[in-house]
Amino acid sequence: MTEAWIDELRNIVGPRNVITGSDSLAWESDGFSLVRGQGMAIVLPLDTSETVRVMQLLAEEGVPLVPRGAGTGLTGGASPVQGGVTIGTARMRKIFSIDPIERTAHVQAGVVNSDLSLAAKPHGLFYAPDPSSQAACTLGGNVANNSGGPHCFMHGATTRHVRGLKLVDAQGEVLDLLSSHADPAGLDLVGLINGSEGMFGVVTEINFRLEVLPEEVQTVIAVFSSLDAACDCVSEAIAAHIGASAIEILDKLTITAVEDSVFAAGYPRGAEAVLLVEAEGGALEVQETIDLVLQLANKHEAIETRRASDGAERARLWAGRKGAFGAMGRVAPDLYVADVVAPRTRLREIVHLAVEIAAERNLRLGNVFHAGDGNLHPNIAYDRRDEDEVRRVLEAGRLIMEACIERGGSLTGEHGVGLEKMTHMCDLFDDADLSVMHRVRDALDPKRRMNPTKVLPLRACREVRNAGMPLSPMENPEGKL
Amino acid sequence: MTTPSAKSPAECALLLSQASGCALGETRGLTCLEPRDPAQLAAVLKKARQENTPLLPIGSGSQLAWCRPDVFNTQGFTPIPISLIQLSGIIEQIPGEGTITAQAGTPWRDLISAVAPSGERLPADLPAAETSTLGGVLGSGRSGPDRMKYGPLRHHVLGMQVMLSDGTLAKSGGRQVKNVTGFDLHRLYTGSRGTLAIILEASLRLMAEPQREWGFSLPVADCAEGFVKALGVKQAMPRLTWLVLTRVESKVLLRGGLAGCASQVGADQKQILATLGGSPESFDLEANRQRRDATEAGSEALFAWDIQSPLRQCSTLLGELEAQLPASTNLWVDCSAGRVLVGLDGNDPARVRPSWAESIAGRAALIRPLRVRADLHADLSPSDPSTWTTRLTQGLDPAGVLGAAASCTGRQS
Repeated sequence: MTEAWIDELRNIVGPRNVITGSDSLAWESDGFSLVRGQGMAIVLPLDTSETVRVMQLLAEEGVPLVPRGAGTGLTGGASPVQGGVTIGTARMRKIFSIDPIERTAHVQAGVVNSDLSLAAKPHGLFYAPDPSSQAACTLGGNVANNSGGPHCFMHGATTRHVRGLKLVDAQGEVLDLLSSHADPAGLDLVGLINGSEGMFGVVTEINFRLEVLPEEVQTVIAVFSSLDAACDCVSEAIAAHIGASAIEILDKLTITAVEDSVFAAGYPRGAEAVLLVEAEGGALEVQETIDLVLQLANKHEAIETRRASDGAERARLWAGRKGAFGAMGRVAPDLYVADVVAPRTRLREIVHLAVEIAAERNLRLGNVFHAGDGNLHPNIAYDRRDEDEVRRVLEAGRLIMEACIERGGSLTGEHGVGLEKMTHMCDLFDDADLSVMHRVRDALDPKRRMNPTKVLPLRACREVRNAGMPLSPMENPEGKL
Repeated sequence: MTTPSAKSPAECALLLSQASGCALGETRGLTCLEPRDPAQLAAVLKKARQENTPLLPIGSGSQLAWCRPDVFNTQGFTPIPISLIQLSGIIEQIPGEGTITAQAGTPWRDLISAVAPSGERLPADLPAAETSTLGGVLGSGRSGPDRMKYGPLRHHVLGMQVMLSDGTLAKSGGRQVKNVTGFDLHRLYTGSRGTLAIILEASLRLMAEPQREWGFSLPVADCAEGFVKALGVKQAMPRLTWLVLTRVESKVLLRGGLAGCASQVGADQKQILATLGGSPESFDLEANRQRRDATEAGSEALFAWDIQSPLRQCSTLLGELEAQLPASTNLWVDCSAGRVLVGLDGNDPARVRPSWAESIAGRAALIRPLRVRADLHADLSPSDPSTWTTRLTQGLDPAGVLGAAASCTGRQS
């Protein structure tokens, strides 16, 4: 790419919205800071129209394109490891409309997750998916990763809330799926694009389904003297078809980190585990759910149970939970946030394994997870300057992943595959499975310019497993696969 | 498939059967290939490619109607029906996980029976589909009226295994309630009407069986008025599970129901009755039957057209339709989705072109003709939003073995 092309880009989006050179360092990685890459430029279009012009121009150049929301992703999906141009949605901040009859919102992709619920509140509505990073992450990024969050136990992940969207593909062509219809007229392309991690294009606008604000919300905290007991309590609650909206567990290291931080929520410091359950809906059904939680917590010998007394306490409890990743910064300078899925009937077993795997490697593991969905986040605090510790962290992460898969779980529940888990796709899928994903990708982006070297391994699984070659960009930061 | 076969459909079916060892069966009067395992299916597909013979996945054939190749075919182009009803059975259902995985040919009613003992139900209420197969229900992209509470069925498909027309056996997703590993190709296959791949097995999320169900039925003057009332009830009671309008033999009923925690249902029903006014019939013990009756009425069995309208325009649209349609034309409206099914006028498939279609342009979408050859009404169907559909179809089925299915909708059930 020459300076002339950069000038062309500046002409389209304005000089301030093309970032190059040392100013682009902040875009080297996302929340998965182990892998970094430097692209030619970061371009911040204002809307679909500017995105089209940018993409058309870049199509002539044939450069790799990396879509990026707020960069809060945790698997390296927004890292420009192949160089090229990063297309950021930071300027796409408009909420075009909220329709209280349809219960939908039409927004630009760069709107911050929590801003949508704030805007919907006067209409008696809210947007349900609530990733821990919701105060920063963008809705476009949520669509790309099919993001979840604690309340997805009841409401489902992002894909269940997207009615339509508008996407600009690698050639600069617009795919307008912003229909107001409840069902697709043809293929469910919206369903395909959700969670595709930026591999098909840049999503610029989205039509979201909103939920009605519940009449009643209650939150209960149950304190346990063992992590096993908390896990067993959750497994039994799931088997009893509990009608909760969120079921979360935090372990001792996480509780301590939270209580030592600005997110201090009043979790008891001596506890081995805290179970946080919320119920929402009509007053009577909420009461019944909370009664069941308390009953099960007592059965599993909770040492303390209490209900949040008011909205302020409830908000504090959730701020602690959502601030847990940040609070872990007090334990060590870096945090490896694993994201795996365990069968919900085997929670205790897999959490136990994760603890053992970390202990054997002398690592500091904090568990904070969406227990109701079986979506575990074993978080390992480490210092990236310590090469041996980094090696042990990655090894532990791999072993935890493998343990989940062996027991019928999955590779990722909400963070996506990105760079981090790309080669591990071969643990869950075989060459035929992956070849079909490649065929879909090639049908929509034949030159493979959208977010290259992410999600899908480029070599056969047998080769990927061959220890003699780089397994992933993580082990080959220049990305030369 | 660009080259029409010179052989008759019966000769083609026999040839494929002999080459693959696949049995020929009869489904709803049609001679049909019935592979007993994936290897046999692969052999059928291989021979079909070699012979340039298009295949039509039909499940149990319940949605064929006027798409029957023997009734209404294009000259020199007759796809051979293929059904996976021999690939039937539940693969995995672990109480406490809240999921079920089954082979595509498993009857929907068998799935209902399998999950009931653990206090669970399927994520879509499709009683009229009880004889349908899992693969057919998913392939035809159906949802029940309880989508108002649970969302459309496609949101609860967790993973699939399919076979592409070149014999590639591939899976996507998984069996967990939460999983974002790889592309959600199962979302693409759901509702694709067999044009991309043949579904072999699928995993679904399950719902808790409610403690109590309650339903109501209120006679209203017409659908337009009924829809205004429906919006009022929907606004007043966010916990409604289903809400439909039915017009059968000129009688219009607004019907709806609740499902969930017994005490909450009891309290909510009073609020609904107060909002409705009039003299609705209230059902408790019979709520389940009422829901099924209402769902049955919308089973698509008697409908030719599927329209979707923004909710705020739906009442006006219904008023205009009612003014134009003969009193004998049945209507079924899912009030949560703005989906309107319009019944048949007469029994001749060539005469089902609706006179009212032009009048709804711009205000609603004619999503698809049901059970009628789509190519007869291509000018009325919404245009493809891009070339993506073509590119995906060519990418996954380059020989066009399954592409023939695209000319006929609503078939795989």
